[in-house]
Amino acid sequence: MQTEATTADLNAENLRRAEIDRSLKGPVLFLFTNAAFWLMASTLMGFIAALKLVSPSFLECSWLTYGRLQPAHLMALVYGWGLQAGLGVALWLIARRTANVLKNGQGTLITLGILWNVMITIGVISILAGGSRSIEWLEFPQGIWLAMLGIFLAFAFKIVGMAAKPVRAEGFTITNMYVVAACLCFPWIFITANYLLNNLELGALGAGISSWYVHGVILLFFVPIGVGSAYYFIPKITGQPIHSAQLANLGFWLLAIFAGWTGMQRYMAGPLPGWMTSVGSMAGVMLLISVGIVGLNHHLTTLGSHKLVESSPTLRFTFFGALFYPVSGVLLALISAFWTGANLQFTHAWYGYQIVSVYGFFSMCVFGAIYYIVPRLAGCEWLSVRLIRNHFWFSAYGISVIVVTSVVGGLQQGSSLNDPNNWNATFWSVVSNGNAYVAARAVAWALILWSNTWFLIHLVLMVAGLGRRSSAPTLMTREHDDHLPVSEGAKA
Amino acid sequence: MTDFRIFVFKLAAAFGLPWLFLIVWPAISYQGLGPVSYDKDKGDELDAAYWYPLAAPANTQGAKLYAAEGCVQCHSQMIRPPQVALDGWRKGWGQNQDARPAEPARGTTLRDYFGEKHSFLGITRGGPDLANVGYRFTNRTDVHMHLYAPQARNPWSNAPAYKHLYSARKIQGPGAGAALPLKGTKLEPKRGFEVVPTAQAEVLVDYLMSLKRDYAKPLTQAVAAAPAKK
Repeated sequence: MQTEATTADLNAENLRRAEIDRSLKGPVLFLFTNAAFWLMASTLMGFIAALKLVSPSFLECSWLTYGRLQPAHLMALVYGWGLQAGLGVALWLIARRTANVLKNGQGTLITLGILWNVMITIGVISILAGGSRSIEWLEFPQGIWLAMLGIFLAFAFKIVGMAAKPVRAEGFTITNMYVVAACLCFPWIFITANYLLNNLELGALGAGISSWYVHGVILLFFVPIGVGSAYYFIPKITGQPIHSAQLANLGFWLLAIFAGWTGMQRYMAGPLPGWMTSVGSMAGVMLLISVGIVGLNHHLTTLGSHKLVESSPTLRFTFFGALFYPVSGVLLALISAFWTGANLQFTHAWYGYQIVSVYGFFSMCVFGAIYYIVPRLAGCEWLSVRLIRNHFWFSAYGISVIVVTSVVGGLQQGSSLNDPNNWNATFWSVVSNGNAYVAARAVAWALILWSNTWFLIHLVLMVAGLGRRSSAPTLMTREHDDHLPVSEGAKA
Repeated sequence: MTDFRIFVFKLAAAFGLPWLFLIVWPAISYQGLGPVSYDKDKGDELDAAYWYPLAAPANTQGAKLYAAEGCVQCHSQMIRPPQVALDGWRKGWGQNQDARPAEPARGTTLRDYFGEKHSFLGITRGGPDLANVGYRFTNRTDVHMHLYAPQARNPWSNAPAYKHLYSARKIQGPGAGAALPLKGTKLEPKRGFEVVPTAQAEVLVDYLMSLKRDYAKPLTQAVAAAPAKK
């Protein structure tokens, strides 16, 4: 394939790509822009929620109590930003991988996208107004889950349909596997959790199932989209094939096999039957193997191309996200294993895990993808290196701070709770031990808020077609327009 | 068979296994879980006429309010047994409110949550556990005061004040019996006014006062861990 590629072939390939991009422009840009708005909303709520945890009398108002704000913040992050942006990336990745043009249905997809945003708005407002159900990640009112499911299925149907009928003969590659798994598993988990929790009386088992749901969405939707995107963009930009196809395959199947067993370990030593929490704990630790394999594979693929991490925004964000994947795996193992879990149970470490997987890992990979995809769809280049750099550093720093403080703060909290000397003490020590870390979390969200504001403005300008008119991509190490850089230019 | 179809079957098998055995099957068999009886012959303090759980029907209205306010974000309802954690020994977390009880509160079990649609086992412990909070508070006014102004009792507390569950109104006649005792505190309402709980606050307090899970469980329970037939 690499030797006999004539100019005519290359031209045909490029035309095909342009055609695919044109067909996806509407739905994908719609999803990205709306997702970025939700990300802003979520970041803002995360910032206020962290402040409220330290100083509950700040902005006193029933809509903004911590118990309502915190779930609203996470729901906006998961469904407003995460699922929406994830679907956009999935749609584009599969269309490009399989060389399928989205033949029709752009209007329907955008209409459904609008409906999705209406649903999320209703859900978030009803949580803030006092309608939360307090089932983790399923806090929205009962009525809207079917509508959300239907909309998701419409997108998943298009994506899986393309994957089932590839135009290109390369067959079924690792990116396709991850993305299709995400599109098939999410509805499965979503239906199961909603059906059981809405219709059956489950007592403590219900708490276990809701925890299984959260782990399922993280490990079988966010992780696959993030890893799938990394498997696409790292080879694309470094110009090297994925180091080992076997490792890639193994990493995927270990994830698929173990992910479904996790979740119940959050209530270890609780009312759930012992085998459930044990099997969850085992799976949480075993996933380290899958995470290690994927990490190693990405590392070996990037090896020798680290210069590009500096210059390409896409690779920089993807690399950072891929770096956070092992971190999230280790954190999951720490909160899952009985050895460390008893101390980390019911502490900020859980928040740290949610943020490192949904933001540190998934979102950074998606940012990377967005920096690659949007110029191709919008037909213009990113306006400013400084804004991208600003977005990267503030996000990277903010997320690292949130993760580190949550884990260390969680350890403090947990050991203070389990300290025999404190048996008779009031809760004062636990609260005060956590306060400094939560304050740091508020600062970190403020930094991320700053970075996201510029990301949103930058993205909206691009979608409005006000980007740079140039054939050279915006790279981070040199000024615009000097010359076409070798790797990214050639691949574009 | 194409690659794609094989892939979908393999994925369905990989994920279907935990789905079936960890989620669906336990959820169905939970529906058949019945109470266990106490047995004097085996050393239980109560006799076989009594069933475990003893608890009155769960307070669904109160649980809804507990959910709506997101109490679960900071309060767990789950006591871990003493061999794992110190939950049971913490003062006020069990039935015995003594400074140094002879026995720790027992770990909570599956049957302790009977009648609840889904339990609020907890997300973080930003505040104390509430599995047995019904024993801790002996009068409703204390709970109301805690909900209305948590910092009035514990200045370090990071609990939000649920002022929207209370209403200030003009005192009529001798004043309402349920009015909060705010006289002389910083929160004292305007002259001629009093703060009274709304119906919602009363429901929430009912719910909190009903959380009592630390009674003796039958010794036979270990044997009857499998779904018992009614």
